[in-house]
Amino acid sequence: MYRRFAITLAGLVAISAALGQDNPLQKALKDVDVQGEWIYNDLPKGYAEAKKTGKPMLVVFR
Amino acid sequence: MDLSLFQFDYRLTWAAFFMNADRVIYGRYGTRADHKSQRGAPESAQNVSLDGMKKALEAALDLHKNYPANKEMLAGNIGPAPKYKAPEEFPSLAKKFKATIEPNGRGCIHCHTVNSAQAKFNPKDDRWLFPYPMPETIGLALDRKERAKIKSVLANSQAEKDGFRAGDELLTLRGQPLLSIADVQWVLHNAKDSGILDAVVLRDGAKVDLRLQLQAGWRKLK
Repeated sequence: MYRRFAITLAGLVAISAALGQDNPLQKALKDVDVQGEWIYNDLPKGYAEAKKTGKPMLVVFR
Repeated sequence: MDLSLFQFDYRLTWAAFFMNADRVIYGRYGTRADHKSQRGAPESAQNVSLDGMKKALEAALDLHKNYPANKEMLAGNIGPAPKYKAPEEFPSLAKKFKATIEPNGRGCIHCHTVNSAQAKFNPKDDRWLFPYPMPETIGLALDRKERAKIKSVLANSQAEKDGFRAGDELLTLRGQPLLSIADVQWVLHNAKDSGILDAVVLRDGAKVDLRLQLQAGWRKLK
Protein backbone atom coordinates (compact mmCIF):
# COMPACT_ATOMS: atom_id res chain seq x y z
CA MET A 1 0.00 0.00 0.00
CA TYR A 2 2.61 2.57 1.08
CA ARG A 3 4.78 1.74 -1.90
CA ARG A 4 2.17 2.75 -4.40
CA PHE A 5 1.66 6.12 -2.79
CA ALA A 6 5.35 6.73 -2.50
CA ILE A 7 5.25 6.74 -6.29
CA THR A 8 1.98 8.48 -7.03
CA LEU A 9 2.42 11.23 -4.45
CA ALA A 10 6.06 12.02 -4.76
CA GLY A 11 5.55 15.21 -2.75
CA LEU A 12 6.06 13.24 0.42
CA VAL A 13 9.20 12.23 2.19
CA ALA A 14 8.51 8.64 3.05
CA ILE A 15 9.80 6.98 6.17
CA SER A 16 9.11 3.64 7.68
CA ALA A 17 9.89 3.05 11.27
CA ALA A 18 10.05 -0.65 10.78
CA LEU A 19 11.43 -0.41 7.46
CA GLY A 20 16.82 2.96 2.86
CA GLN A 21 17.80 0.98 0.27
CA ASP A 22 20.21 -1.85 1.13
CA ASN A 23 19.28 -1.48 4.75
CA PRO A 24 19.67 -4.70 6.78
CA LEU A 25 16.21 -4.23 8.18
CA GLN A 26 14.81 -3.83 4.68
CA LYS A 27 16.38 -7.15 3.77
CA ALA A 28 15.12 -8.83 6.93
CA LEU A 29 11.63 -7.65 6.07
CA LYS A 30 12.04 -8.94 2.52
CA ASP A 31 11.11 -5.57 1.05
CA VAL A 32 12.64 -6.48 -2.27
CA ASP A 33 10.35 -4.52 -4.58
CA VAL A 34 10.24 -1.15 -2.80
CA GLN A 35 9.81 1.77 -5.17
CA GLY A 36 10.42 5.42 -4.42
CA GLU A 37 12.81 6.63 -1.77
CA TRP A 38 12.28 5.26 1.71
CA ILE A 39 14.34 5.90 4.81
CA TYR A 40 14.34 2.89 7.10
CA ASN A 41 14.39 3.17 10.85
CA ASP A 42 16.00 6.63 11.00
CA LEU A 43 13.55 9.35 11.97
CA PRO A 44 16.17 12.10 12.51
CA LYS A 45 17.30 11.57 8.91
CA GLY A 46 13.68 11.83 7.81
CA TYR A 47 13.15 15.08 9.70
CA ALA A 48 16.32 16.51 8.17
CA GLU A 49 15.29 15.46 4.66
CA ALA A 50 11.79 16.91 5.07
CA LYS A 51 13.22 20.17 6.37
CA LYS A 52 15.71 20.39 3.51
CA THR A 53 13.16 19.66 0.78
CA GLY A 54 10.14 21.39 2.34
CA LYS A 55 8.09 18.23 1.82
CA PRO A 56 5.72 16.67 4.33
CA MET A 57 6.53 13.28 5.80
CA LEU A 58 4.79 9.93 5.63
CA VAL A 59 5.89 7.85 8.59
CA VAL A 60 4.84 4.20 8.59
CA PHE A 61 4.89 1.77 11.49
CA ARG A 62 4.51 -1.88 10.62
CA MET B 1 10.01 5.27 19.68
CA ASP B 2 8.72 8.54 21.10
CA LEU B 3 5.33 7.72 22.63
CA SER B 4 4.67 11.37 23.40
CA LEU B 5 4.58 12.02 19.64
CA PHE B 6 3.56 8.76 18.01
CA GLN B 7 0.30 7.92 19.70
CA PHE B 8 -1.99 5.58 17.79
CA ASP B 9 -3.90 2.35 18.18
CA TYR B 10 -0.98 0.10 19.03
CA ARG B 11 -3.03 -2.98 18.24
CA LEU B 12 -2.61 -2.18 14.54
CA THR B 13 -0.16 -4.11 12.35
CA TRP B 14 0.19 -1.12 10.00
CA ALA B 15 -0.20 2.57 10.82
CA ALA B 16 0.84 5.79 9.12
CA PHE B 17 1.38 9.41 10.16
CA PHE B 18 1.33 12.47 7.90
CA MET B 19 3.67 15.06 9.43
CA ASN B 20 5.64 18.24 9.06
CA ALA B 21 9.41 18.28 9.63
CA ASP B 22 8.81 20.25 12.83
CA ARG B 23 6.89 17.26 14.23
CA VAL B 24 3.41 18.69 13.85
CA ILE B 25 1.04 15.91 12.86
CA TYR B 26 -1.40 16.46 9.98
CA GLY B 27 -3.23 13.20 10.45
CA ARG B 28 -3.19 9.44 10.77
CA TYR B 29 -4.15 6.43 8.68
CA GLY B 30 -4.85 2.89 9.75
CA THR B 31 -7.96 1.38 11.26
CA ARG B 32 -8.83 -2.15 12.25
CA ALA B 33 -12.02 -3.04 14.04
CA ASP B 34 -11.28 -6.76 13.98
CA HIS B 35 -8.31 -7.53 16.19
CA LYS B 36 -8.96 -11.26 16.38
CA SER B 37 -8.21 -12.37 12.84
CA GLN B 38 -4.74 -13.22 11.68
CA ARG B 39 -2.80 -10.58 9.79
CA GLY B 40 -3.56 -11.00 6.12
CA ALA B 41 -7.09 -12.29 6.66
CA PRO B 42 -9.62 -10.36 4.55
CA GLU B 43 -11.49 -9.08 7.60
CA SER B 44 -8.30 -7.57 9.00
CA ALA B 45 -8.38 -5.02 6.16
CA GLN B 46 -12.10 -4.28 6.15
CA ASN B 47 -11.67 -0.74 7.47
CA VAL B 48 -8.93 0.48 5.11
CA SER B 49 -8.66 0.96 1.35
CA LEU B 50 -6.29 2.37 -1.25
CA ASP B 51 -8.95 4.93 -2.19
CA GLY B 52 -9.24 6.07 1.42
CA MET B 53 -5.46 6.22 1.83
CA LYS B 54 -5.13 8.26 -1.37
CA LYS B 55 -7.73 10.78 -0.20
CA ALA B 56 -6.08 11.05 3.20
CA LEU B 57 -2.71 11.68 1.54
CA GLU B 58 -4.20 14.37 -0.70
CA ALA B 59 -5.78 16.04 2.31
CA ALA B 60 -2.43 15.92 4.13
CA LEU B 61 -0.78 17.64 1.17
CA ASP B 62 -3.46 20.37 1.30
CA LEU B 63 -2.77 20.90 5.01
CA HIS B 64 0.94 21.09 4.22
CA LYS B 65 0.34 23.79 1.58
CA ASN B 66 -1.44 25.92 4.17
CA TYR B 67 1.08 25.32 6.93
CA PRO B 68 1.94 27.03 9.26
CA ALA B 69 -1.18 29.25 9.02
CA ASN B 70 -3.22 26.23 10.18
CA LYS B 71 -0.82 25.13 12.92
CA GLU B 72 -3.19 26.01 15.73
CA MET B 73 -6.00 23.75 14.51
CA LEU B 74 -3.54 20.82 14.36
CA ALA B 75 -2.48 21.10 17.99
CA GLY B 76 -5.00 18.44 19.07
CA ASN B 77 -3.19 15.84 17.00
CA ILE B 78 -0.69 15.40 19.78
CA GLY B 79 -2.03 13.90 22.97
CA PRO B 80 -1.22 14.51 26.59
CA ALA B 81 2.29 13.59 27.68
CA PRO B 82 2.39 9.91 28.67
CA LYS B 83 3.97 8.74 31.90
CA TYR B 84 6.31 6.53 29.94
CA LYS B 85 7.81 8.22 26.89
CA ALA B 86 9.22 5.07 25.31
CA PRO B 87 7.90 1.48 25.19
CA GLU B 88 10.93 0.08 26.99
CA GLU B 89 10.14 2.30 30.00
CA PHE B 90 6.96 0.42 30.88
CA PRO B 91 7.71 -1.81 33.86
CA SER B 92 6.17 -4.81 32.13
CA LEU B 93 8.40 -4.30 29.04
CA ALA B 94 11.59 -2.97 30.62
CA LYS B 95 12.97 -6.39 31.45
CA LYS B 96 12.22 -7.85 28.06
CA PHE B 97 13.46 -5.20 25.64
CA LYS B 98 16.24 -2.66 25.07
CA ALA B 99 15.91 0.88 23.70
CA THR B 100 17.60 -0.11 20.45
CA ILE B 101 17.01 -2.91 17.99
CA GLU B 102 19.49 -4.89 15.98
CA PRO B 103 19.96 -3.81 12.34
CA ASN B 104 18.02 -6.84 11.17
CA GLY B 105 15.05 -5.97 13.32
CA ARG B 106 15.63 -8.47 16.13
CA GLY B 107 14.63 -7.12 19.51
CA CYS B 108 11.89 -4.98 18.01
CA ILE B 109 9.07 -4.27 20.46
CA HIS B 110 5.82 -5.22 18.81
CA CYS B 111 3.28 -2.39 18.93
CA HIS B 112 0.55 -4.57 20.41
CA THR B 113 2.69 -5.18 23.49
CA VAL B 114 2.63 -1.41 24.09
CA ASN B 115 -1.14 -1.49 24.07
CA SER B 116 -1.14 -4.36 26.55
CA ALA B 117 1.36 -2.52 28.76
CA GLN B 118 -0.82 0.57 28.79
CA ALA B 119 -3.91 -1.41 29.69
CA LYS B 120 -1.96 -3.12 32.47
CA PHE B 121 -0.75 0.24 33.74
CA ASN B 122 -4.26 1.75 33.63
CA PRO B 123 -6.44 -1.21 34.70
CA LYS B 124 -9.51 0.85 35.62
CA ASP B 125 -9.35 3.44 32.87
CA ASP B 126 -12.02 2.94 30.20
CA ARG B 127 -9.81 4.88 27.82
CA TRP B 128 -7.36 1.98 27.80
CA LEU B 129 -9.88 -0.79 28.29
CA PHE B 130 -11.72 0.45 25.18
CA PRO B 131 -8.97 2.21 23.21
CA TYR B 132 -9.51 4.03 19.95
CA PRO B 133 -13.27 3.49 19.69
CA MET B 134 -14.65 2.79 16.26
CA PRO B 135 -17.08 5.50 15.06
CA GLU B 136 -19.84 2.87 15.25
CA THR B 137 -19.61 3.28 19.02
CA ILE B 138 -21.38 6.61 18.68
CA GLY B 139 -23.56 5.41 15.82
CA LEU B 140 -21.55 6.34 12.74
CA ALA B 141 -20.52 3.86 10.07
CA LEU B 142 -17.90 5.52 7.89
CA ASP B 143 -17.03 4.71 4.28
CA ARG B 144 -13.54 3.16 4.16
CA LYS B 145 -13.07 4.47 0.60
CA GLU B 146 -13.46 8.08 1.74
CA ARG B 147 -11.75 10.29 4.30
CA ALA B 148 -14.45 10.44 6.97
CA LYS B 149 -17.76 10.20 5.13
CA ILE B 150 -20.81 8.77 6.85
CA LYS B 151 -22.08 5.69 5.07
CA SER B 152 -24.93 5.11 7.48
CA VAL B 153 -26.16 6.26 10.86
CA LEU B 154 -27.18 3.52 13.25
CA ALA B 155 -30.82 3.65 14.27
CA ASN B 156 -31.50 5.02 17.77
CA SER B 157 -27.85 5.95 18.21
CA GLN B 158 -26.56 9.14 19.76
CA ALA B 159 -25.36 10.30 16.36
CA GLU B 160 -28.86 9.92 14.94
CA LYS B 161 -30.33 11.89 17.85
CA ASP B 162 -27.78 14.62 17.30
CA GLY B 163 -28.63 15.10 13.64
CA PHE B 164 -25.90 13.30 11.74
CA ARG B 165 -26.98 11.91 8.37
CA ALA B 166 -25.73 9.38 5.85
CA GLY B 167 -23.74 11.21 3.18
CA ASP B 168 -22.41 13.84 5.57
CA GLU B 169 -18.68 14.30 5.29
CA LEU B 170 -17.07 14.88 8.65
CA LEU B 171 -14.69 17.79 8.21
CA THR B 172 -13.70 18.51 11.79
CA LEU B 173 -14.34 17.04 15.20
CA ARG B 174 -13.43 19.04 18.29
CA GLY B 175 -11.97 21.55 15.83
CA GLN B 176 -9.53 19.06 14.42
CA PRO B 177 -9.34 18.35 10.67
CA LEU B 178 -10.18 14.74 9.82
CA LEU B 179 -8.22 12.94 7.12
CA SER B 180 -9.33 9.42 7.89
CA ILE B 181 -11.35 7.09 10.08
CA ALA B 182 -8.21 6.85 12.24
CA ASP B 183 -8.44 10.58 12.92
CA VAL B 184 -12.02 10.16 14.11
CA GLN B 185 -10.85 7.37 16.39
CA TRP B 186 -8.06 9.61 17.69
CA VAL B 187 -10.52 12.32 18.71
CA LEU B 188 -12.85 9.79 20.30
CA HIS B 189 -9.99 8.12 22.15
CA ASN B 190 -9.05 11.43 23.74
CA ALA B 191 -12.60 12.59 24.43
CA LYS B 192 -13.94 12.83 27.93
CA ASP B 193 -16.16 10.18 29.45
CA SER B 194 -19.12 12.50 28.94
CA GLY B 195 -19.66 15.86 27.32
CA ILE B 196 -20.06 17.45 23.93
CA LEU B 197 -17.94 17.14 20.80
CA ASP B 198 -18.39 19.93 18.27
CA ALA B 199 -18.48 18.71 14.69
CA VAL B 200 -18.58 20.36 11.27
CA VAL B 201 -19.93 18.31 8.38
CA LEU B 202 -20.23 19.00 4.68
CA ARG B 203 -23.83 18.39 3.64
CA ASP B 204 -25.11 19.11 0.14
CA GLY B 205 -22.16 21.39 -0.44
CA ALA B 206 -22.63 23.50 2.70
CA LYS B 207 -20.93 23.33 6.07
CA VAL B 208 -23.24 22.40 8.95
CA ASP B 209 -22.36 22.66 12.65
CA LEU B 210 -23.45 19.72 14.80
CA ARG B 211 -22.91 18.77 18.43
CA LEU B 212 -22.39 15.18 19.49
CA GLN B 213 -23.43 14.41 23.04
CA LEU B 214 -21.28 11.78 24.70
CA GLN B 215 -23.19 10.02 27.45
CA ALA B 216 -21.50 8.46 30.46
CA GLY B 217 -20.23 5.00 29.54
CA TRP B 218 -20.33 5.70 25.81
CA ARG B 219 -17.07 3.84 25.20
CA LYS B 220 -18.67 0.56 26.22
CA LEU B 221 -21.51 0.81 23.70
CA LYS B 222 -21.46 -1.35 20.60
